[in-house]
Amino acid sequence: MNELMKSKLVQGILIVLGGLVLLSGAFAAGVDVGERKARHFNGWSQNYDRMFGDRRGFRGGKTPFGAPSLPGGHGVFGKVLSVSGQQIVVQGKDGVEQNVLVASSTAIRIGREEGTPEDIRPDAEAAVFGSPNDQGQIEARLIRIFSRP
Amino acid sequence: MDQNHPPLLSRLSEPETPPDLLDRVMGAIRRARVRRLRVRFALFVSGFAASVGYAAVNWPLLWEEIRTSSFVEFLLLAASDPDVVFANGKDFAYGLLEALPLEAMLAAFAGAFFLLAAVVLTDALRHIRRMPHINHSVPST
Repeated sequence: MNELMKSKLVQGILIVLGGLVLLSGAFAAGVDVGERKARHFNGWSQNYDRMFGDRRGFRGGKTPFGAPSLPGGHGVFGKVLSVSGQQIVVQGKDGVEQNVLVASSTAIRIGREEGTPEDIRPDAEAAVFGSPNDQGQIEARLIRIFSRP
Repeated sequence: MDQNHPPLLSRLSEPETPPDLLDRVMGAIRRARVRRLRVRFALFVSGFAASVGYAAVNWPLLWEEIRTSSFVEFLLLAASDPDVVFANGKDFAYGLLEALPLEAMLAAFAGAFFLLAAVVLTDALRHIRRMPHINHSVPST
């Protein structure tokens, strides 16, 4: 067995197999993340008019490979554009608006203090972390407000 | 036929290796190593030039990708609110992966790889050239 492990052929095969495992794992992760992004963007674009009214639409950039740079569905960091009941609209660093649902379980924090949904006001800087739903919205788990307007 | 072979062979002198054969063989091996290193060095330098060229041509898009990426913000959020973030670890992992500026990372890593490989090969070439040429021939008695 020891001699088998010392064999260059066996070592080469093991290295190639290990490399294939790593590549396949990375590729699978990429496909999974891409699918989630695409699903979120699909819901977002289909419900755009309902969520954002007559705003300009998707202004996301492009990547050097030419593919559109889709917004992520697990968080948005930027300025609060509007607040309407349980829904807030946050414009991310990429200029894309995201509709965020504030639930009773959403943690709202300002500095070291706990906040309330009433503390979320337009023009405030916010960091939102959550998970996407089928309507292209982000169900917030955590909203951190950085500045009061 | 067999009877002629011994007289024929007896007229040939004993084969002698040239006195500097070992030197010539070692020299040929050294030249082949240098040639191989030079080819690899040229390939890696070309790869580095291609990476830099690609980054230069696509710089506005790469910079925009880095600027609009929320990767750092996700990490800062994990530092400021670890209780909520790690309670939703799967969403956090997906958020990080989604926020990666992939094309910029690819260009940077490729350029760094080719540059490092070229530097290592430069050092190896310099080392080989500095090695003294040793006379391997056995002095004739």
